[in-house]
Amino acid sequence: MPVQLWVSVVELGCFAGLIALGFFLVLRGADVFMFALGPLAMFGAMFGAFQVSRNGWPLPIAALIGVAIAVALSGLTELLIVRPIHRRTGGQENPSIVAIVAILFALEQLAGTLFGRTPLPGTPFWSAQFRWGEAVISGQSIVLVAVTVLAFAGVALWLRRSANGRMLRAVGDNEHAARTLGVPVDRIRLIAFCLAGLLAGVAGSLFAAKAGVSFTSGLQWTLVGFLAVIVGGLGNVWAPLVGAVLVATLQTWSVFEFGHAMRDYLTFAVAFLFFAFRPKGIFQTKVRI
Amino acid sequence: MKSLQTFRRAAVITVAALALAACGSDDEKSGSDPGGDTIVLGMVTDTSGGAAGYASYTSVAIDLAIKEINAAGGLAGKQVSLITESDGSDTTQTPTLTRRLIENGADVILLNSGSASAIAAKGVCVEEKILCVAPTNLSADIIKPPDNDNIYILGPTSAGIGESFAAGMKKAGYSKLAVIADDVPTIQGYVPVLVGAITGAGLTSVAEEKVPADAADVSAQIARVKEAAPDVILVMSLGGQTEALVQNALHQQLPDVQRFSLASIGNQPTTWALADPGALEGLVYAGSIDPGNPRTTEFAAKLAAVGGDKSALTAYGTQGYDSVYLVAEAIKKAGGVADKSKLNETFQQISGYQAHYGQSDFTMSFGPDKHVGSDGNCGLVLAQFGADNKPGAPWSVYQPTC
Repeated sequence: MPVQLWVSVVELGCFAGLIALGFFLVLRGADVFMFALGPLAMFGAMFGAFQVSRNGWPLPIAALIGVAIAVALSGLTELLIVRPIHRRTGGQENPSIVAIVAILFALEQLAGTLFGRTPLPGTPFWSAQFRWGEAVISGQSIVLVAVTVLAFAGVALWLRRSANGRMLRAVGDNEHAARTLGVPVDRIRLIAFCLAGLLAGVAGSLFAAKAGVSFTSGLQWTLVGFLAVIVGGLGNVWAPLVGAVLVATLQTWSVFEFGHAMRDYLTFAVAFLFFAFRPKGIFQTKVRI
Repeated sequence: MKSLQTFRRAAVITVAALALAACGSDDEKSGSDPGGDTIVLGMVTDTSGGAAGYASYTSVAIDLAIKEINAAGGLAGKQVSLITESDGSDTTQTPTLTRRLIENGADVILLNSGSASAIAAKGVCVEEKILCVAPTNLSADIIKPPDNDNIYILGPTSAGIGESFAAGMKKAGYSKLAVIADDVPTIQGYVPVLVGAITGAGLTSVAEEKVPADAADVSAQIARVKEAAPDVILVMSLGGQTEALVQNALHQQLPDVQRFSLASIGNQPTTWALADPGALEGLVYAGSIDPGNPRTTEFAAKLAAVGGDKSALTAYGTQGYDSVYLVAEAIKKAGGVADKSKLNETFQQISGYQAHYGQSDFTMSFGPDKHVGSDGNCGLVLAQFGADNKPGAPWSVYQPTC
């Protein structure tokens, strides 16, 4: 593949990896797929883009508030929607997932109503461009890579070193056992949702600069993160990033070699293979109760 | 294993969610059934789907035309009102919503959503024998016989764009064409029409790439186009992010190759801002705004007075505005809307209507066998983007004629 395509693989891999890391945290902490992460990323990005392009806000402030909104919405999703359903259904996953999918579509429509139905331009944090042979690398791509590495390293450290991190793994493994042992399950679940919202908000704000963001971006963003975590698995905190880079490589290579149509066939073939033969991904969790 | 179960359930639910997304719909209603002694225009629009980006420009101009008509005393002694339904470009909903507009008293239907929606509404228009006009849609399939008695588009159609591009590219001396098109049905319907016209003029198609309408990256498609070494590239999309992504990548990877695009890019100010600085410079698009057309200038001033973020001058606006005045002319001749057959006949008698878009000599006429209004391709203006990413002067190499 031409070098420029590897640049795209890195960009897409980092973006999908951040979303997938959000999936990872909620899965480990609450054992539920947080399908609303794509729309949360979109919502935060649209807020930032709207305030910068329409109201002239400084980018850092607009982006920061956009990320904060994503965090708040994710936390509210757990507090007001998922937790009551989780309690009423005795911890069944399906009702919670259906509710989260409903929130996905609600967030899309809310963003369209608040920020408009036309795409909004994202603003790069670093607008420089560098040439590397025939490839062009944008400053924003470098920022995305740096933030992704920092985010993964930070989450890895947090899970290993902090009490909340260790409790999050315990809750995800067996909520009832963790509750019996005195782990503050509700707080841990809320932390997982908020952290996932934070990662989604950051990912959306950084990726929007590539070609803008629209109210319909959320579902696609959810899918790339979901595929990454399916392929990568939950056995290691870096697993979602590995999954994201593999999916991005597959999608980019297949389009380059065979054209657009093959991308979807191959992507779904890989998803099917993982669902069928390795449903817990490449990196599998080793400790289960 | 709880986690394994979760993954399996998620797989099933994801499929359901995707199906839901594909069927996602929007059902909004604005305005109200005015009843009483008014002429009611019913508009199928899109406030939430793929056509929402441009349908809003058309809606603003339609409102403007109705206000002007009412201020001038109305039509056949009656005031004109507008009721709307949004189909979100979901063609499964369009027929039902069109019927709902008719149930709510619509005397004429304006189809202000995607081309696929207009095609979906066609059956209702014919069954109900109600005059239907699709102001901005380009697809000739909308008015293709049989069962096209009372449905009309303004044009020029996609075939006219293909003929104009073909003539322009040939005159400019290009020989190797690459096409990059998004995968939405409306655009895919245009691809054979435009590519057929261009290759028919003697150019060779060396690459034809498809990109998803929700693409996050198009570098692989651009790399394939680059390997084919074209000397001219045609980008076909509904505009928005996909168009911006493609134009940014082409500007970066193939800066010296001339690019062409459809009307979307020229009529979507919001898309210009999505492109990298200077990325649109030199791009030729099939516009319909000619600064030399005095009626366009007059309309632009009226629209500016309306204000708001949808008051930018676009072909969508002018076409919406013209569609109301075309309908008004037919209603005046028919003496009202009570006789639907007569109204359709008087619409077909419209001849030489001087449009508010296109070149200054562009006119529209209709007839029993002429359901595309344009009297030639001079309804198009091949314009070129400037370094500021905004539409600039008409393309100096070639302009369509009538």
